[in-house]
This record gives sequence, structure tokens and C-alpha cells, in this order.
Amino acid sequence: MTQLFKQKHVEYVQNLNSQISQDSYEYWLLEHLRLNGIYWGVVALATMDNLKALPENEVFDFVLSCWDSRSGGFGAFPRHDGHILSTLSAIQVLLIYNRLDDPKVVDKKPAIVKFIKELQLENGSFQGDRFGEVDTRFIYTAISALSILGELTEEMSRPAVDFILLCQNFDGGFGMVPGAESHAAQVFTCLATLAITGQLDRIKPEKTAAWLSDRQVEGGGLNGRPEKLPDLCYSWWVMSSLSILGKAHWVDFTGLISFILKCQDPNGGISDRADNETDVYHTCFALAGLSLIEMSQKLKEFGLVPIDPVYCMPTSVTRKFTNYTQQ
Amino acid sequence: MHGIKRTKLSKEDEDRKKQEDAEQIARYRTMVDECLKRKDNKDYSEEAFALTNSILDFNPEFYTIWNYRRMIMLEGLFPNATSEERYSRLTSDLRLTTSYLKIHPKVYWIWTHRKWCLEHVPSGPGRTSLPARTVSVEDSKHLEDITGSLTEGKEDPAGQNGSRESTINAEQTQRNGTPANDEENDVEGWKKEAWARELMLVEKMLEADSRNCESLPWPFPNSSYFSVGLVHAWDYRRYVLSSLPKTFQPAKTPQTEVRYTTKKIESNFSNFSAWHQRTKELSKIWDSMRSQPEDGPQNVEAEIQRMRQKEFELVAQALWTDPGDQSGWLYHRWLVGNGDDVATLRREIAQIKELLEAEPDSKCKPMQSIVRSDPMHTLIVSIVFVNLGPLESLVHYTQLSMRTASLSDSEMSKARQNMRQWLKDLERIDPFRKERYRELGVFPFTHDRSSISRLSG
Repeated sequence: MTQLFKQKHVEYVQNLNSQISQDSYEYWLLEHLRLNGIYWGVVALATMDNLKALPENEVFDFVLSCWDSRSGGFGAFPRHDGHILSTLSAIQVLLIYNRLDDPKVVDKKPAIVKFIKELQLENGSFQGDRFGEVDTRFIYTAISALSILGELTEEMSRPAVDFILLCQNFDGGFGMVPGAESHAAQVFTCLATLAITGQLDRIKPEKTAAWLSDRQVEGGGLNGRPEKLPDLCYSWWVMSSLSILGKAHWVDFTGLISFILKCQDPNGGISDRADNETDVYHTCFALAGLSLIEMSQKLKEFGLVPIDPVYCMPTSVTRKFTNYTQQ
Repeated sequence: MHGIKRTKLSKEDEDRKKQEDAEQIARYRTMVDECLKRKDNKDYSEEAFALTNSILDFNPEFYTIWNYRRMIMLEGLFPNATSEERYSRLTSDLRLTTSYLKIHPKVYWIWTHRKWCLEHVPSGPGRTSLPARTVSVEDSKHLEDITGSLTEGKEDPAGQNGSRESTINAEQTQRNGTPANDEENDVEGWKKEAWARELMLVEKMLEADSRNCESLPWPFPNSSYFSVGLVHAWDYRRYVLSSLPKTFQPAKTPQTEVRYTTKKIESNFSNFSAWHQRTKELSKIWDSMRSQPEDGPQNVEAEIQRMRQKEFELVAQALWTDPGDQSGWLYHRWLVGNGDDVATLRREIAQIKELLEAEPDSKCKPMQSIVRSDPMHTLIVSIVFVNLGPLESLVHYTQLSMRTASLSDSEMSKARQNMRQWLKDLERIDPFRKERYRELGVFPFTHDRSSISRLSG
């Protein structure tokens, strides 16, 4: 496969919420990921410059219906509990559709900000909800959300960054908590947090970039840790991390592009590896990863919209509020 | 979806599925609706508790339902319960998560609930006459089932050794976790018992397979549908170790943990997770020796140096056994550190050169395919880069020596010449990273740019 089936992928995202999808039991078993799924779908469409493929007002209404007034955060589906992950998804979707200033959102903003701030623990980390799970991805999620809302303060970011630095290992990578092994997706969350807070100069970029480029394995795909199988989602986690460090070219683009294209279903949708079941998560990260490659190569082979490696949204959107400097 | 093959249903199968699904959807959605209504009404009754169970049976990833279940315990069931009753309730929830994990070993939310239960085990039995429970045969059976499902389809003859060992360990843990009679008064009795069981679980997981069952709770969606693999057994081990009650016996210290990693490494040199754990535990030991120098700082440094040299001996075994394995090289990199110990650095460089001469393949055979079985799905071919380790390390250590070893002019010139050759070799045998090697040739020391001219000159 040498071609990107853009139109098919647009239709794939459009059909995710169709009656046919809703007739399947699996659709309902995935309720707890619905809002996250909408974010992935919206970013996939935005990357293909086809945001209008989804009905904006319906999306807007759905996002607001997921707001959990008791916690102040967004749940993944109406009546579900607020969680930091779905809260970031909601904020991102509202931002991409330029609806953060809608009065219905502005009303809720103080409660949303309070929800996120109260998840920060004394050691600087953030928990995902009040039940206490801590993970560097929740730190990124919180810092990213607050920065989008223009509510990130030095008081919150300083201890968060200190915690992130404790999660770095001798190999240059980062783990989910201090002591944990390096993992490419955690590397993304940590580097992106450092980028947002302007603290990238606190690490040695070459060491981390070398570890990241070692993730490319035969066949061109990327894995998440040494001696693991490649998986398409690392086309995002690794490429965004390398892009943040200005070292995207430390992997082989031809091999990676070929791996990504092979994961496509010609009928639409993209999967973790060739011939596996497609899903919107991998579809999103395949397209976003390809966009980063295009940006690094300064080519327009697939005609994708430039994506911000720190926020995983189009740069045209993030330009409105970013205050970090990319290397 | 992660690891699920793409399939196309026939029209007939599609219709049948649609009909079956319609019934299931109706049943499921009615139940969810009822449960969320009760939740909105702050219904913290036994009936509500049972209802959460029914939903989780269908969908153990439904985090809101797990949250509600905890709220029911905290707000409804616990306030008027004795600590025995609370402990018994939590024990039965631990069993529930065990039964779910047998089917969904990688679902993050189940593990979250398990941790929550463990952390809420009340103090006791204290001065009551209730005898503390021991790790029962039934518990062991449950744990066997979990680890069994994690390793299904694994064909590893070495695993048989592992399971013999695991029985011995289980027995030990069982003894250790069994409070003696005088511990009936132990206020941490229940906690110790619960955590001893947990330690046994995680050791079984690690014995079950050194690689396959240790993937991490990732990615963003906390869902088995999207995850590469959820519970990283070593992460869970670190969690358990850090949570043990203060009076837990036998005490777990950095020293006991180093011994544990030795056992793991000796049975499988390419177990990177064990090497990683070793870096963390040795760092703790050395930090603590330095902060409390009993025999004076010099003696402490000499002792640390002695321990460090023992580590070089251990990792050398791994490197000479399989120079292509990344794990040993990564650990070696950690041991060498910033290269300030010049004598050791020079010795190691010499030994790697010797290794390259003894194993010329390490230089010219860049890759090798390895077939691994994936416990969750089908047989997948895993292809990894091998044999870059010696050459890459040589480049890295030579760079360090150019900075720290006060090389003579002729040594420096030789080092420059070697570096150019090795980087060219690397570009050739590892073209994926050729840009990185090119940049290394131009900027050998990012923190000491004055040296750039030396290499390129």
C-alpha cells in the first residue's frame, strides 16, 4: 500500500456513531470511552482537513451532556463520573470547534478548573479522579487542560515538573511513576509537560532522543519499550516526542510510512498492525503521526494538516493559546 | 483493536449477530439505567451493591460503576459495620477482582479497584479473639488461575523450572504470611495477611513469564480494547513492596530486592525489567551508604566500588552469552555512568573490543528475527534489532574517554579515527538511525562543544 485512503477514513469516522454501529453490543460496552472516542475522531478529521464531516452542533451538545455537575469534570458519557482523561477530551473538542467561549461552557469553566486543580497531590503529581490513581499521563492531561483554559500557574506547574523529573530513568526515558521502567507513551506525556511549562532544558535531549529512535524495529514500525512488538500508536507517541526534541529525523521515515500505510483497511479505518481490527484511536494516531512526518520532511505527500506534537491538535488551533517554545 | 484480527462477517452471521445483540443491548442498558438512577439518588444499599456486580460482570471497564461500588461501601455499608465485616467485604471484593482478572488480566480499572481494596483493609484483628486468616489453598488456586490465563499458549520449557520454583516460593510466602498465635493481637495482622497474598500473586506473575505478562497500563484509553497490555508485573511489584505494613515479615529491603533480581537475571539475562529494578535498588543502597558512612566516607566509597565491580562481572556474563541482547548493554551503560572512573572505563572499552573480535558477527549481522508467542492472541513474529550493542557502546564510551581520560595525542588521534569508522559502520548496518549517527559524528559532546573540532579535525 502506498496510498492514504483519506476519503475512506473520513467515512469511517462518520460511521462510528451510525445506526449500524449502535446496533452492535460492543458499541454500548464502550460507552465509558465515548468522549475520548469523539476527540480521536475529531482530530482524525481535522488532520484530514474535514472537520465538517461531523455535525458540529450535535457534537457540541453531546460534549456538554457529558458534564458531571457533581465533580465539575466531564465524564465519558452522560451521567458517568467526571475523570481527568474525558475532561481533557471535552476541552480539546470544544477548542477545535472554537466553542470554548460559548456561554454554556463559560458557565462551567470555574467548576472545571476547580475539578482539575483539586486533583493535584502534595508531591506535585495529579490523580485521575478522587479515587487516587497516579500516573504521569494524568499530570500531562491536567497541565495540558489548564494551559488550554489559560489557568496554568507556576504554583501548580513547578511541583508537577519536579515530579516528572523524578520519573526519568538512566536510559533517558520516563516511566509512569518514579521507579517505573521507561515507556514511549509516558515519554510523550513527560516531554509535552516539560514543553508546556518551558522546562525542556532540564533534560539531556540527545539521550532521550536516542532511546526514542531505538524504538524503530524491522518493518519500520515503532515499539513502546525495548524488545516489544511494534504498534501503530507509537507512530504518535514516539514521533511527537522526537518532534518536541527537534529530532524527528532520527528515525527512518520511509520505513515508518510504509508500516503505517499497511495498517489501513482499504474500506476505512486504521489498526495497530496490518490486518487487525481497526479502531478510531489508531486511526487518529496514524494520521497525526503521518502529519508530523510530513512536517519534518517539509513535504505534502498526503496533504495533511500540521499537528502540534505537544497538544495533538492542529497547530492552527493551538497557536491561539500556546506559550511554549518548540525546539 | 489491539491484536484482534480483521474479519468480515457473512450476511447471515451479521443478521444473527444483530438479533442477538439487540437482546443483549436491551438487557444491559436497562441494568445500567437502573444502576445510574440509584446512584443519582445516593442509594447505598446492598441491592445497589449487587446491581453494580451484575453490570461489572458484563463490563468490568465501566469506571463509573466501580466508583459507585466504592461509594456504596464507604457511605452505606461500612459506617455501621465492624472491622471484621469490613475486612470480610474487602476480601470478597478482592476475590471478585481475581475472578475478573482471570478473564481480563489487562483491564486497568480492575487493578485500580484491587489496590483500593488492599489500601482499605482495616487494622486488626487487634485484641479480638478472631484468628487471622492465612493464605488458603483456595487463594493459591485463584492466583494459579490468573497467572495461568496470563501465560496460556506459552511454550517455554524453561517455564517448568519456573513453576517448580514458584511452588517453593508460594510455600515460603504462605509461611511468612501466616501469623503465629501470638500475632492474634497484631493490629496489622489483616493488612499483613492481605499484602502477603498480594506479594505471592505478583511473584507468580513474574515467574509465569519474564516478558509477556509485564506490559504496562497504557495507553490513554483505560481499556483492554486499546491497550497493548495493562498490568506491568514489575510496576505492581514495586507498588506492593512500597505498600507493605511496617511490621511485615520477612522485611523487604533494597538488599532483598537486589537478591530477587539476581535470581531473575540469572534465569534469563535478557530480562530488562529485572536489570532496571536492579539499577533502582542499588542506587538506593549506595545513596543510603553515602548518607550514613559508618566507617568513614573513604571506606564507604571503597565498598561501593567493590560492589560495582561485582556488577561488571555479572553483566559481563550476560554480554558474552548474548552480545545481541539490549538489556545487558543498557545496564552496562548505567554502570559506566559518566565515565569518571577512568580505569574502569578503559578496561571496559578494551573488553568490548575483545568481544567484537571474538564475535565478528556482532558487527556485520545487524538484525535477527525472533519468534515469540503472545499469550493473549496468536503467534506473532517479533523482530528486534540485535548486535548493535557492542558497537554503539564502544562509540559512547570512547566519547566519554575523550572527555574524562586525559588521552595522549596519539590516543586521541586513534580514538578519532576509530569513532569515524564505527559511526560509518553503524550507518551502514543500521540505516534507520543513520541521521543520528551522522549527528553524533559532528557533535560528539553536546555538553562540551570544544571537542567537536577534535573529532572532525
